[in-house]
Amino acid sequence: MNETHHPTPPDLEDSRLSALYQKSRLEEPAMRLDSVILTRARHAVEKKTLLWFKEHWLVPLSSFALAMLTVSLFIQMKQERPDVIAPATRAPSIQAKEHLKDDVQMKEYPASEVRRKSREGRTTAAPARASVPEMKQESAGKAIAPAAEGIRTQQRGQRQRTNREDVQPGNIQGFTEAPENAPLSSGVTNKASATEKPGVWIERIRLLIKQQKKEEAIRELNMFRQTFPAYKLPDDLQQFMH
Amino acid sequence: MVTINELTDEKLMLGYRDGNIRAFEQLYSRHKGGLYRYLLRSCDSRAIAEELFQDVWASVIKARSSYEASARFTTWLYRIASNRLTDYYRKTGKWDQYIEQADENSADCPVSPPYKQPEHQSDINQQIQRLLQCIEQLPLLQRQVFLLKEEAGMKLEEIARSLASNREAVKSRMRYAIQKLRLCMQAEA
Repeated sequence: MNETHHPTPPDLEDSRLSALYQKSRLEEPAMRLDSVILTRARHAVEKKTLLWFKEHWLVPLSSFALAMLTVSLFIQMKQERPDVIAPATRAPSIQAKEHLKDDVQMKEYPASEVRRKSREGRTTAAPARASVPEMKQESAGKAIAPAAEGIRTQQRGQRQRTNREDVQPGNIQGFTEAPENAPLSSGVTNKASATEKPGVWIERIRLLIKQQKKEEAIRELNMFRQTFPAYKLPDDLQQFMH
Repeated sequence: MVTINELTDEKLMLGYRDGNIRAFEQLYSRHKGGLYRYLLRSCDSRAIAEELFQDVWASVIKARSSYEASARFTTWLYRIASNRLTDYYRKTGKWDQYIEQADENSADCPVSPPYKQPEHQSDINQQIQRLLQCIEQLPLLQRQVFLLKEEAGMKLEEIARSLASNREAVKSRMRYAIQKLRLCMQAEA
């Protein structure tokens, strides 16, 4: 742009010609041409803006959206099924707390749910909680991570096995009318006796006495006392306690 | 604060390059008339002039991303227009005639007497029509030089740059053009 302008020589300048020509400057392009060119210019800018957006923002934005989706799914899963996310990594103290929490929750669940839970292995490392949220998740969650799905399938299998055990006649009798003060499992060595109704157990002890199996009857009676310390023994069995 | 009307052509073009459509609209409104008349008076018909006019602006739009304000916008714009005209004349086989007319010797050009100055409006209109006819009769290169000076307000150096020529050649063509127009106008008078 730095240029030297020489003065125009007089033979190259004719003011009268120039003035006359300036008066002739009337022609303008048609409005249709204006419209075509301005539209083209506008489209070129919009296209460039779109292209610029694609080049600069599409990949980062997609990655961010994907990350947000993953994190939100993880958080949701963690809230609904904390045991599914990472059961092995949690400290034993936390697991113990959850057992306590389970006990508290069980009081709020229907009696059949409590019975089922008590029958499921309480001493197993990973408690298979068939909680209400799990059922919700099963119906809603198709977008669950494959690892979590695998764990859930395992648990479902375990639950089915447990349910099959429930169907057996011996287990159906179980604990249906257990007194409220009766402990569920602590100090019990004979699981079959522990899960018996006190009345049934008493009748079994009477049968042993009738069959002259006195030692065995006394052993059963002691076990009964340990299991149900608050249960008042019938008078006919009181004598065997001393 | 500087309004868009006060911005130079170069800044407007840089603005459009960066996505400001208002800058292009301003630029277009400034130059559409001059460019259109330059093309109209440099070629045979209005239809061709319109086609070339669209073509030039399409080139401006297309080349916006590579635009650098190293030269005047007007010089760049008319350089594109001159190139399109050259392409047109080459395509239609009129290029030889274009060159022959431009290579006239100054010795062949008589010194023109001063023509009569118009006194009335009717005279002025007649004179304008006559001038446009005289311009049409000019050889193409001389016509281009004259039109670039009148329509784009360019100096000799800028005209030379727009036509990819040198200053001396442009000066010579300008001299011929002025002399011929004077002669033409005087002959009519």
